[in-house]
Amino acid sequence: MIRAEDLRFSWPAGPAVRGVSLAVARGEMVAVVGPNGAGKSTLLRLLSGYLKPAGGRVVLNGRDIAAYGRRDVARLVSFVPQYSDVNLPYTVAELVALARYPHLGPFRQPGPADRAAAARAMAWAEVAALADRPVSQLSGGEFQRAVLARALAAEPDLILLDEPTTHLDLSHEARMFELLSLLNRERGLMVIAVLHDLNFAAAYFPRVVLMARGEVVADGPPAAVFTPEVLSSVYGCPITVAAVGGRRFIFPAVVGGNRRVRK
Amino acid sequence: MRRKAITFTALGLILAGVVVAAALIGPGLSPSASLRTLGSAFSAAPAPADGWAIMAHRLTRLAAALCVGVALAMAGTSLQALLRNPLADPYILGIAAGGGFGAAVATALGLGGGAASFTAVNGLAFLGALVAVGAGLTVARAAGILSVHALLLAGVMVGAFFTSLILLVLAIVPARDQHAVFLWLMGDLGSPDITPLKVGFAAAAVGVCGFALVLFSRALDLVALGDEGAFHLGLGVERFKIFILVTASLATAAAVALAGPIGFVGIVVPHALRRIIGPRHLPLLFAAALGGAALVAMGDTLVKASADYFSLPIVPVGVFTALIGAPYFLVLLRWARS
Repeated sequence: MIRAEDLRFSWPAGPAVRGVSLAVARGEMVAVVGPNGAGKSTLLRLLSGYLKPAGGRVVLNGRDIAAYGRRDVARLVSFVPQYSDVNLPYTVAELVALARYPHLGPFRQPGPADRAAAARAMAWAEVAALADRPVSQLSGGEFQRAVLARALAAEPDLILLDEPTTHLDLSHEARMFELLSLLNRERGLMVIAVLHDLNFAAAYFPRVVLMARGEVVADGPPAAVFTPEVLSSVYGCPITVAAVGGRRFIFPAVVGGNRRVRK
Repeated sequence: MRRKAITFTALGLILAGVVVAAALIGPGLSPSASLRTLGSAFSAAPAPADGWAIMAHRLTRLAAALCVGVALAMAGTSLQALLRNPLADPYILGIAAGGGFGAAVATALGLGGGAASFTAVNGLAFLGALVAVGAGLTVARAAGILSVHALLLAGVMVGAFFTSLILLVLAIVPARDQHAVFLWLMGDLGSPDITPLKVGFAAAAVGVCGFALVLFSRALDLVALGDEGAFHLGLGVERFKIFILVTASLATAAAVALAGPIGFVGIVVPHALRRIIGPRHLPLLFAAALGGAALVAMGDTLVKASADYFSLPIVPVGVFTALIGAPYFLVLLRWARS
């Protein structure tokens, strides 16, 4: 399990995370939502150990993450970034195989177990048919799925995702969340995902953490967090929550407002 | 897989052919006399007069060419990965200018040529090269973070600074020394100062550095994902960047100290081979070593042959490699865009 204790972090432009405490247990699936600049991505990078907190600490399986070796963390935690650029013309299979580095270290060559993990991850993320394609020739959505395959090929206990579905069409977006839910239920994969789409967060995530201005504003099941009052005040615009067929749909109520483009 | 096998076979054959040609062609001994000299080592037949002396110098020159080619191509491969820039070459951090300044100073002080040359020209060139890289590294590293961007800028500026120092030296030394400095700056393997001992030193340095780069080739693969991507796959990025920079720079400095800054090998060879066998660094480093060795030895052999058979003046090999390297990139640029 992973626990954030009173995390604080500032960018040169100002504080981004202001005292966040959060515990996520094995088997949990958590969406982190909130307006732009709420500190979601910064929080995710603090949890992965990439950013060093100015205050507080991250505890992974009972030990401060700063006390781990680099590869020890990477074996437990995978990260799917919002944008990733790969500046060499790797094929999808080569890109996915890179994820075995934390298990192998610099000197050991990949064996059958590594190849099996990579093949499984490519099948899960539906990129097996693209294995020999250079990543530079993939569409945005295909590339995003290849990056997910790479994260899964590391066989982590925890996967951190930063807006992983930005480039995916609606169907692939749903399929990615289906896959994460499946791995979460059947293999106990811990999932923490930063999302903008509140509807997908409500549909697939049993727990949502709502952030604003570097702090956690609400934390709980979507039914408790996604209320019109809470969302309207956090996002600073009227938000409607509708129940259709037992599911919650959330959208801003400013459509057709009275703003005009200045002549 | 098949593509790699074909490429390595082709590289091996080319290198073997170039080595044979380099051993047979050169001033002072015709190919047939060279063959007889080499043959005499394995039979009772008497060697032609002076044959062995000329042959020993020729083989030393060949060994130097191979060593320089391996160093530049492997250093170029790893720096292109590290700087995440396919246009990076081993000299991008100012090594060539730093080494050139060291050599120019040694020549200006009258230390060039003769027995003292080992410690003077080569030694000061090696030192100058390392000072240049060290300066760039120090400037680019702030708060424990080495910015690739800052490193490139610092490298260009350090290079410009040392280049102006070279010009300063050139402006004040006598004309005879100017020519020696110029030849050195172009990258020359024909100097009688290249002795087996010096080649041995350079080969040892290049061997150790090349071995280290190959050992860490899988970590080098991760650098393409950027600092954050590589970090998340378990690489201690900051330490690794310094390690690769130092290793590649030592190999380059050894090559520069031996033969001057021979251009374009370190950029063209990795670039071309990456297009053929892909970006993974374990095969790429080996292929680059073969290709770099073959290219420099071939260039030097052509230089010797053109001087021998067409009575052209002897051109430094660095001029030849630049003559192939620049058009290669222009063709590639045109081709890739159409």
